[in-house]
Amino acid sequence: MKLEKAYDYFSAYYEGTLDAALRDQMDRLFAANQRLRHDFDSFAASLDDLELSKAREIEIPADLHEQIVARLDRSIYESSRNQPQGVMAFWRKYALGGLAAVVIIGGGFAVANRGTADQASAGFTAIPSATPAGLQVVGEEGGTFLRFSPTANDSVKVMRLPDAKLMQSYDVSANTKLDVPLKNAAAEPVTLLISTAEGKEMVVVIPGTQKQAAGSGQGSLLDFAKAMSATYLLPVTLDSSKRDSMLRWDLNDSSLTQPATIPEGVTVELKDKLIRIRF
Amino acid sequence: MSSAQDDLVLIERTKQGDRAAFDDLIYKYERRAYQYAYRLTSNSEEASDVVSDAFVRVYNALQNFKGQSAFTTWLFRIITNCYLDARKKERSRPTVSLDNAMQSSEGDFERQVEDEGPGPSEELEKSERERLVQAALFKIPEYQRAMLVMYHVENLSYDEIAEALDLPIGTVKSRLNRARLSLREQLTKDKELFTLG
Repeated sequence: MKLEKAYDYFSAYYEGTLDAALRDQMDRLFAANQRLRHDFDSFAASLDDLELSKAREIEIPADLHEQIVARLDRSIYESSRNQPQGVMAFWRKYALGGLAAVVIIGGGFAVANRGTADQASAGFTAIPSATPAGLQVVGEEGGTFLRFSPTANDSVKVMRLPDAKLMQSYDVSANTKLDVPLKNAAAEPVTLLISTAEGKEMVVVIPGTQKQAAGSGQGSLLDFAKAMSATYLLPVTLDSSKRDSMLRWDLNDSSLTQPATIPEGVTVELKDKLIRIRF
Repeated sequence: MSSAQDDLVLIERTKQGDRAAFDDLIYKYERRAYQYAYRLTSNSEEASDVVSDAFVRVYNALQNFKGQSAFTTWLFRIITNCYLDARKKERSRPTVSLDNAMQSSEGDFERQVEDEGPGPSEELEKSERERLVQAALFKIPEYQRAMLVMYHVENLSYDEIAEALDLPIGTVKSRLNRARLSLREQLTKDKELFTLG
């Protein structure tokens, strides 16, 4: 066997899968050539070292699932936009007669350069500095606001669920801020999927004008969020990738955050005039 | 029901429009997918991107999945392709790599490996060996890196790698041997540089 050919058999020799005749030839070559022996030893040592990686713990990002689902949702949404007939079919499938809530978004839309003069006097609302680039829905005395302040150019789309109708979209330049009120003049609450081109995404339910009596119900997690919003006339944000999970609930008037029956695994939080549901 | 059968049920349900079934499939494999992607990229953000892209590709191609190979090997193939595509895209951008050479007023010089001194314990030595092998892994061709990680870290068999990369088993064996030789060569170079430094 030529010396160069011997290197082709290193793996099989290391794994012990060479037939006896070839193994003997290799052994003879190793005995006659110190360099080859040395190369094989370092080859075996490098594989042993590689195996050490197996034991290394790799930390999984806490929001990995959300990142994957957000990317998938965006891809599905974008392909549905590129197929108009598909969108119509989707709409027909999900449209619910008599429940077509109307959302008014706009009015207070403002984009301002960072670091400009007194924003409050200009009619803008300050964004909490802890999350400067975050997509936020905030409940305040004046209503519910969508805020976004990216560090790179981005865009925000607001879609109604479940029919995926695009209600509004905004291009937001780097280091500017978006600050728009979310209003619903219809009787029923409306569910919105708010997403950015960079993959951030959130679901929010904006209450309508009509209060719903507290009581029990069943349906998807989205239905539960809608029931909460209609019962307490408050906006609800939904922090979950399992929006289609089926649940049962029983809401009461006395305590918002402690319904008579809370679906298992669901947490409900009331903060700053906004209900946050996590599942 | 076996895990593979369970996968087929989830895939069938997804094909029929059950998005929650696909979510379950993501939950089941996202950790392993991320670990593999992280071992290829050594970067958390890039690994998350690769895994997210891979699951989108899986979702879009699911109608074509006939179950002839295990879902896991198919997933490994897609992650590998996403990773190679991402690297290709990255290479087409003009960037300055800190891994090769850095500029100084006195000309180019090799980036120095931080010298933590000889480890007082076996644990330190083991960790140093692992660090060197990781560094070497990132200097060999990406395709070879993927094969080495699949076999030596993710424990895929030759058959599974052949399925994942759509190659005959003989080709997998010979390419894996070449990948191992490349790793050895790189490690030898690095160790020599380390010793001389």
